[in-house]
Amino acid sequence: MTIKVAIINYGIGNIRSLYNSLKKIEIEAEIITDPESIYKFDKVFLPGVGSYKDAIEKIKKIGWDKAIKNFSSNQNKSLFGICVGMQILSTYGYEHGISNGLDIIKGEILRMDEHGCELKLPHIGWNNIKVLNKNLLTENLNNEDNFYFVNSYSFKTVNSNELIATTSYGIEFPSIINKQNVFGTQFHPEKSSKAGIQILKNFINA
Amino acid sequence: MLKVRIITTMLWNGSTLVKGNKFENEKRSAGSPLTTVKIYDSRDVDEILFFDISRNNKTIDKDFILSITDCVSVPITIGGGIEKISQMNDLFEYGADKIAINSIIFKNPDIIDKASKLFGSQAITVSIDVKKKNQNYECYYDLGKIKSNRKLNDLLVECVDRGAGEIIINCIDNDGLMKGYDNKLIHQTSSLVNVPIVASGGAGNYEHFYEAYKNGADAFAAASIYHFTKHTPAEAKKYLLKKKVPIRENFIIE
Repeated sequence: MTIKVAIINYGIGNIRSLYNSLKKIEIEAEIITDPESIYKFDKVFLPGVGSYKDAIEKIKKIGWDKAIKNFSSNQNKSLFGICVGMQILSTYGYEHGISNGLDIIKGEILRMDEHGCELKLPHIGWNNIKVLNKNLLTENLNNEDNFYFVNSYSFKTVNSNELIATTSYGIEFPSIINKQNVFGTQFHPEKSSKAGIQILKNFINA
Repeated sequence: MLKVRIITTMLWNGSTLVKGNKFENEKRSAGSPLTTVKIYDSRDVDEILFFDISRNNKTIDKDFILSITDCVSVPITIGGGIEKISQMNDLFEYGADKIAINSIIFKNPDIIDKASKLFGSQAITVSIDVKKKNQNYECYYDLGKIKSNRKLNDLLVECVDRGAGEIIINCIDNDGLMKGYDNKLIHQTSSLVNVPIVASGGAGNYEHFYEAYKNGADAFAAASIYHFTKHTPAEAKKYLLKKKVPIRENFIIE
């Protein structure tokens, strides 16, 4: 049986480059706009750029919140949030005022300078990860591998076992998180050349 | 740790890639954009700068831009003749990660505020082209053809205050000569503003990148060195790594 892969299009995010990256590993992803269609798929990507508030409002407006939560409660399925798509998996976000997230992975999203980062924001460019808990997503990767980041906010996880890798930029912040069948990366695998492709491959093969 | 970036610059004249000296670009063809971008992407360059210097791009050619961005698995910055928010919107939709603007900042500087609010500062790069005059720098626009009356330092500070997320500082005198960047210019720029600085204009060997790094550059853009010599982004990285410069090493499965 072939794995059915989808990318959620809720009006935000660099969907085309993700679609192209998946094509490189011979995955023809479907881009979906109807929340009800999510259940047909095995692996679903939740992309995102821009602000937390904007993203979560769009998600809720179209009814994606319930669909994503129902989908990810089925352990035979898996979800991958990218950048802001990972951030909105959290309980709360504080970008442009507080908003409630999807609350799938416990934690909150704060501006990195509120975590103590004194370097210039946004954090933009290639940075490496440090793997804390070995995970199927980090298969074939090591601590020197670099990924492409664009972020001013970062995830503060509640459960340390859900923190897979961190990245250092003034502070150590989560760059890969995972709870059961739900994964997230703060960086953009679709912009991270071969290392990014490897992460996508790990997710698809898991 | 955040890495410095090796960037390849591509100049598109509407029919082919070109690269000349001191902004006189029409004399020397530099190949097909699709082939070139694919090679750069496969050789693990950190970022691609793509400039349309044809000035025929009032409306963005969707199919052409998509043909380029579809080949790229690293960030790509697109510039050249951009004067409107609607053009930027199109370019982001067609896969640009950042937009570079130059001439319009002299005519309508408010566009920096508008664009950075709309797309985020991280997506708005201002490119500044200068020529040396005595001990100072003069700022040029419209492909280096028109001299502005703006002082470099004032212009840099204004652009960053308005929301520019990055500065490409380009020395027209050194462009294409492959004798090194203008390190004084890079130092002056990087000491003045607190956003990433992309050195541009003059790189001819890997030591030139290292010199720019020591003068505060966060990224090294170059064209001729990759078009016309045997130098490659991958070799540049090896060289800089030996000098303990933080560089993204190419990903290899062990």
